[in-house]
Amino acid sequence: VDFILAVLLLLGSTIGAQVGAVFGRKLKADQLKILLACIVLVVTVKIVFELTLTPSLLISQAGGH
Amino acid sequence: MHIRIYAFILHYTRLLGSTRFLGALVLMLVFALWQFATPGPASAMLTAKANHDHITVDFFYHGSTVSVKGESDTGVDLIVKITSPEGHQVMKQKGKVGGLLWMNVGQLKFENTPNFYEVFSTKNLDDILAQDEREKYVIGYPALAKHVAITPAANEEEKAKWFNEFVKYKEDAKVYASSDGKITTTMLPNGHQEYYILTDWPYQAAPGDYLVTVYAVKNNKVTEQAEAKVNVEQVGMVKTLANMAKSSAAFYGFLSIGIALGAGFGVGMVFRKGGGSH
Repeated sequence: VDFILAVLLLLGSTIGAQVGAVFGRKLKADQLKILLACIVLVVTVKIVFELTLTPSLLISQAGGH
Repeated sequence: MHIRIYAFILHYTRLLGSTRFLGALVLMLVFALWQFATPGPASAMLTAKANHDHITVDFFYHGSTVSVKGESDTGVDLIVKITSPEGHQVMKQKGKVGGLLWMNVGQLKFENTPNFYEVFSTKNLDDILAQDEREKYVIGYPALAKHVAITPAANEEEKAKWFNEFVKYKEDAKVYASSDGKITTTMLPNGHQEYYILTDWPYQAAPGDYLVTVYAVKNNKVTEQAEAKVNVEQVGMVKTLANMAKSSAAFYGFLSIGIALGAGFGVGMVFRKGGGSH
């Protein structure tokens, strides 16, 4: 486990949640819906590309010793 | 007592007289002379020392460097191989489903495979070492490909394809490497040559023992070899947490949740005190 990465993830998510809460209060409901829809769309496009384009590596780790 | 000694001498005098014994004696003499005349891998000219042989993995560890140096005979080429113990690895195999989507379609098992494999040489391996010698000492990717067993692989072509993918994956993870020209050599006043190589040690290399083998090569044959060891060990907090994750997984899980909750409450309190709420 990369502990520095874990600490950064912890700090980023906790501080990010607070920042998000502050911005969430300032934005209107429709604006929030559009923002959320955009995020879902971007993730969908990424997944579609990953599934259809030939991956650079044809194998990935599953286990072993 | 004297009778016993006499019988002993008589026995060996008879033996000395026999043709079989003399034949065996001549054979032994010829074998001993051949051993002296042929320089073999047992010669102790080549030395190897890994200068950073104990790498400690602490909280801020992000890889290290390892240097190997030593002395060798002049006029030889050198190969430095760093490997982890061999084991078996299971990999997910990707393939096209329905002729359109790339998905995991099965598993591949790799036997006799080191998790870490790096080979450095003074010149191109193909130019300095014969193929049978490379296969004997498992030096270079083609030799490793012959050494590794992959299942399922229908034929040699398929095996070669998946081995190449495996090497690509490992090189991407910085745990496999093969290059020439990184070893520097300098002449010493005593007529020997000193060699030196400095290589990056990736943080992806798991804790454990690694074997550094240096081969002296002449006339396409390995003439000598020397070994050194590199040990990678977790220390301090990292070791405690890694051991806890293995031995008390449930406690480790609850501790992680506790830390995450504590961090959330702490940051929440800071933001509340900051006056952001209304």
